[in-house]
Formats: sequence, C-alpha cells, structure tokens
Amino acid sequence: MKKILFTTIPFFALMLFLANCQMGNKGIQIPVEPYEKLSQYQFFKGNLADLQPNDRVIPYDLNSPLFSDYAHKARFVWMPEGTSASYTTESVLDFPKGAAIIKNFYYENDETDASKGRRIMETRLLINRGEDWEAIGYIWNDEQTEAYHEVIGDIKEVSWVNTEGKPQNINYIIPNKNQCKSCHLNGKKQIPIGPKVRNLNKPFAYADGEMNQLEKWASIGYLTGYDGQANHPKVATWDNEKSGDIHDRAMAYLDINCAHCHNKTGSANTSGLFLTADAPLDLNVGIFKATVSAGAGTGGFTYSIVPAHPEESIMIYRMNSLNPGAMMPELGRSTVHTEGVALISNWIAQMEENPAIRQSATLR
Amino acid sequence: MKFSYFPTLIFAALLLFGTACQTAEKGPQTMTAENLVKNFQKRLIEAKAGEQILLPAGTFDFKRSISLNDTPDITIKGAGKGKTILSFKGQIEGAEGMLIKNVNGITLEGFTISDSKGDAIKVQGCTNVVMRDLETTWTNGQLATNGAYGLYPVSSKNVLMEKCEASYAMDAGIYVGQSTNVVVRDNYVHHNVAGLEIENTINGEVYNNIAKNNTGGMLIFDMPDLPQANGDRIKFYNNIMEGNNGKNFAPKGMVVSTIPPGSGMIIMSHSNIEAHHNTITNHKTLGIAVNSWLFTGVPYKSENFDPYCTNINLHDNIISGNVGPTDNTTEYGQLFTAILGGEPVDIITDGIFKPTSIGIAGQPTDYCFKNNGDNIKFVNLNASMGDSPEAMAKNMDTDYRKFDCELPSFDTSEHDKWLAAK
Repeated sequence: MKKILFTTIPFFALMLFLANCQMGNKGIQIPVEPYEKLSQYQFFKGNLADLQPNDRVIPYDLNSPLFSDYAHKARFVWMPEGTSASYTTESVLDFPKGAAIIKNFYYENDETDASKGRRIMETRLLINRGEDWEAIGYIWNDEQTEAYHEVIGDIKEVSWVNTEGKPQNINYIIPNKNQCKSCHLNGKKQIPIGPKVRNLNKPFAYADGEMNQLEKWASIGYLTGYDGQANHPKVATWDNEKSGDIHDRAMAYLDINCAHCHNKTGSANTSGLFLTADAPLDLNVGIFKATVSAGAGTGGFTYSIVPAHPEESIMIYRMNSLNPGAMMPELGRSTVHTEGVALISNWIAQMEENPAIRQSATLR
Repeated sequence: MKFSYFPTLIFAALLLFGTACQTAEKGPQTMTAENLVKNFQKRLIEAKAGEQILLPAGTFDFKRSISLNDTPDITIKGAGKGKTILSFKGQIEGAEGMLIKNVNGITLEGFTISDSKGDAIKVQGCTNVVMRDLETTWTNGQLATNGAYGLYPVSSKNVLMEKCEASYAMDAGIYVGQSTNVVVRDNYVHHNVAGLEIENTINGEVYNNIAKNNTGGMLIFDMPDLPQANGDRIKFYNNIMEGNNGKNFAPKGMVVSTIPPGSGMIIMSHSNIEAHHNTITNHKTLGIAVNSWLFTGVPYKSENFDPYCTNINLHDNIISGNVGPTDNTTEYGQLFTAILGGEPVDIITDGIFKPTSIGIAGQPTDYCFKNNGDNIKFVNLNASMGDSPEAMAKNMDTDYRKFDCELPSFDTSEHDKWLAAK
C-alpha cells in the first residue's frame, strides 16, 4: 500500500503542476473539448464583463453587420503565435488552424444613456479546427461574472430602452449548436460569415489610435498577401448614405443578412434565390421570381420582388413577419428590423416598373 | 484490513455485473419523459454515429425546432404515430418542427409532429433516408396559417417513405423535392391542399398510397430555376385518389393555391411519367391533368429548364364518378368552368406540347393515354399563350383516340440495391 501511495502522489503532483503551468503562463490555448467557462480561454483580462482583450486578441468591426434583434456585438479575433490569415476576396479570409473568432452579444440598458450599463447575453466562439470550424456557445450569467458553455442555447427575456427612448422587451433566443451550423454552413463545412475583405475594409479606433483594419491585421502579422498600395473591395455600410447609393447599400444589407444561406452552396440554395452582394439584378435576386416552397412566406403575393412595388413583394413581407413559418431570416430574429425593411423597401420602390413582364405575369 | 475490504469488493463486482447485464440485454434505453424537450435536442447535438434514439410515448411541447446535422446513421424512433407526439403549438422559433440536414443514413419512425409553424419534418441534403410510420398534422383544421409541408425530403438521395399519414398541410402533406431514387408507398394523405407531391425528382416509384379529401390528390411538378432541374422517370401505380374536393386554403402566391378543388392528379412539365392501375374517383373538376409550365404564365430564367411534359404514359387507370359542377373558386377552376360549362373532365391537357415532339396530326407523339375506361371524357385545350376562354373553347379538341399509343416502360431500378439493404 505505502508503495502505491508513494508512486501515485508524485504523479498527481506532476499532473497538477502541468495543469497549473498551462493556466499560469498567460498564453491562450484552445482546447480540443470546449472549456466549461469562457474565462478559461483568457481572451479577456481583468473583469470579464469589461471584455478587455488580452495580448493578440484584436477587436474588429464590419461595414455592414448582420441584424440580431438590435443586439450590439463586440467582435474579436485571435490567432496562434506565428500564424496568419491569408488575403482572399473570394470568400472570408483564409484563417489559420487554431484561429478563434469571438463575438459577444449585448444590449445597452439604455441606448440614450451609456452610463446605465449593458447586459451581455452570450459569447459565440468560432474555432478553426483545421478540417472545419466549430461553433461553441457561452451563455452569460445574470450576475455578469461568467459565461458557461451550452450546446442547446436558451431563451432569455431582455429589456432595454431604444435610441428613441422607447422601452423594448423581447425573448432573446440563443441558438443551439445545430442552428449555429445552419447559418455558417457552406457546402459541407462551416465558415465564418463576417470577416471578408470587403466587410473589414474600414478604419477602427484601436487603443493606440485609428487605423484601417486590414492594415492593422497586416502590421501585427495577422494577415499575409495584403498589398497596402492596392485598392481593396469595400462593401457599403447599409445605414450610411455616404457609403454608397441605394442599390449598393441594399445589396450590402442582403449580403450580410441573407447570403450566408441564399447562395449557390448555402442552406437556401433549394430556393433558387441568391443574394450575394455581387449578384446581378435579375430573377435570382428575386425580380419577378415565383416562389417554390415559401409556404406561409408568400403573404398572398406571387413574386419575391415586384419592381416599384415593395407592398407586393414577398421579400418585404417576410422581413416584416414574426411568424416562425414565414419570417426571414428564419433564425436569430424575433423583432422586425424596421430600418432594414425601410432600406429594402426604398430600393424596390425606386426600381423601374416593367409593365411588359407585369402584364404577362398577371395574365395567368 | 482484509475483512473490511471484502463487502466493497462484492459490491463493486455486483455493480459491474449489473451494468454489463443491462447493456447486453436492453440495447439503447428509451429516453425518459422528464425534461425530454431539452434532453432530446442535446442528445441530437451530441449523438455519435450509429446511435439509436428512442422516444417514449406521451405528448411533448416544443418551443423551438429540433435539429440533427451531419452525424451519420442515426435512428430516431418513437412509440408509434399517435403515441409519441411532438407538439409545436407553442413554437416561437424555427421554420420547421424537425430539421435533419446533411445526414448520411437517417431513419425516422413512429412519432407524430403536430402544429409546427412551418414544415413539420424537413430532411435536407441527406442520403439513405427512411421515414416510416410517421404522422404530421395540424389540429385546428384547414387554415392558411398551417405549415406548408408535412413530410418534406429535399435535395436528398435514396428516400423511402412508407406507412405515414399526413394531413392538414396548407401546401402538400408529402412533398418530395429535388431528390433522386425515391420510393413512396402505403401512405395516407388527407385534408391537405396537395395530398402528395413529387417535384423536380429523378427516378422514383409512388405506389399503394391513398389520397382523400385534399384539394388535389397527387401532383408531379417540375419547377424552373432550381438547383435540380428537369424531374425524370417517375412511376405512379396502384394509388387511390378519391374525393379530393376540399377547399383550397393555401395562401395566394403559392403554386398550389392555383389548384382547383376537385383535382385527382396533375402532371406539370415533368418527363417520363408512367401512371397505371390507379383509381381516381369522385372529383368534381378533373381526373388527370397534363400541363406545361407555360400554361401558368409565370416567367422563368433558367435556359436548361424544359417547361414541357415529355413521355407521358397513362394506361389502365380507373377514372370514374366525376360529377360537377366544376370548381369556381380558383383562376383555373373559373377558366375550366368558362370553357367546359361546369362539366368535369377525366383527362385534360393544356395542349402546349414540346415543339420537337409534335407529330403530323398536331398532337405529341409521346403522350399516350390507353385503357383508362371506355367513356373517357377527354379535352385537349390546344391553348396558346394569352388565349381567352372563348378562343380555347373554340380550339379545343375532345378526340381521345388521337392519343391512343404505347410507350416503352423505363427503368427505375436504381433504388433497388439500397432498398434491399433496408
């Protein structure tokens, strides 16, 4: 007995020491199995809810973000030492194995008064496992001291005061792991949605001064193949009139809100409706496109888009709907994005009416 | 020392024995009813390849859709349809009740899905799919707010659907879309807008199914501008379509909202259809319609889409008991009524034929209608785009004999191999 004890104790001690060593070296390590707590990754320093990034954890922003029930998002990226993403305009940046994208969803308690604080709902991690990306969800506790790993998501009531001073109250839905996948799926694999060159190409106010995000990533070794002298694609900011005309802003909005499913290899390819920013303005964007399996989503209308007539366009009907069987996007929305609907409505309204097609369409 | 350890050892041995015994004899455990709603989704997310997930009897209320992705060879089996009921009456999220995606090997068996806000069961991008003894329904009757499809395999390969019951869908009870190698047999579809619909599907057999009290019994459609275009090679036999005279409660704008109540079977722009030994009775508008997509007047873009029906072989069907007045609630119904004066027809075609297959006598060489009863009421509308009902009434031709020909059968045996393994 004694002998066994003696050999076991040093072994345990060694294990403990190793574990401690890992925890103590301040380096970020991405485990094979998700940590139970968000804090264990050490993406943030100090008080967790302050979301103060550790070294090499870089905040970023997008020209046009996905609408998520008016939640704000604090986004960060981290890559393992000595690795970098490679530049491509084809899709999202080509991230290295081990890269982590960290997205925190929160509500300002009062949009008109920042001093009233915020409530962080969830933190979503996308980890590049090499073969594929993995989506890992963390749900924040009510005390805002920690976020815990959860695969099945949750539904949480949230209240806030909006920019117009009006109190809002919704059921905020935290997606489950399969739902993460259904938006991030491209072909058979998951990919990030936001960090494309055209969406990252914008200045960001870093702690050490403002800089273009692509330039910043290149300067700290996070981006290779970036030519600082060249022109890079840039998508419009949907709600900034100076960033593009109405077509560009509408397409930027549809791209980030719809195209992750509505593209030729996405989940919604069975619909034949493709809404990527560079799509030509024709039937596949919805112009006089009859529906296939829209279900309740038609709202009694025949075409996705009827030029000059947003009020007869299925696209607007579905953006305005809160019926789970009709609404678009299908996931991640339980309120109407009034401003987004207004943009797409205006875009459709200013399209030229096409009486010839219209007539043949109503003849049937 | 020695003695004090003894009972522990025995206890441990017993434990080991007990667990070994359990796994050897019982196989997978049925999930417990308590917390099933949360645990079921968790189980599906964490499932390992080859797992059997057994659901207990009872009614379970879901707020969110249930989903399974990627993990191969999964069986989800309940205590039987009507016994294990997954109810979505209180659903607040998700466009379907159950979503199965990218799974190679999925068997769904023995449960009911009711009142989902969108489709009841959607199976997308899967291979080797078995849907057996399932029920999908909406419990508040025929409402436009019901979900669109009951059982909905789409973009899938090797699909077997059998012994299922689908009712009250505001589109199709059973809808097979853009799939390949499909067998649909021994199902019962009722009180839907479309009972059973095969769309843009290649190589299938549909037999021994019963469609009653739908708006339209069974449809075979080919639709434009979809990833899998040009449906092909579907055999339809020994099916019963009876009294599909239900009101059309589909929201306007959906393709099925144009189906006139009282339609037995509608074939549109599909290629290689053999329908034989079906019984189609008691419809107030039409028995079988064979139409081109062009008849809808709905524009399309895709150049490789073939809007015409080709190789349509209807033989040895019983078409009987059709008594009007024909439908007057849909555009098509009104058109038929205006042309035909309220009398139903047994077989009708729009007369918009593929230009390359029109023979000398003006009708297509690849539409063959034979042995479908002695006194078939037949109409070829000979329609052209934009014709008025008066013009159609003038141009139409009721000579059934012109279509008296035979077509060789075609091969649908591709599904045999994997079916044999089931």
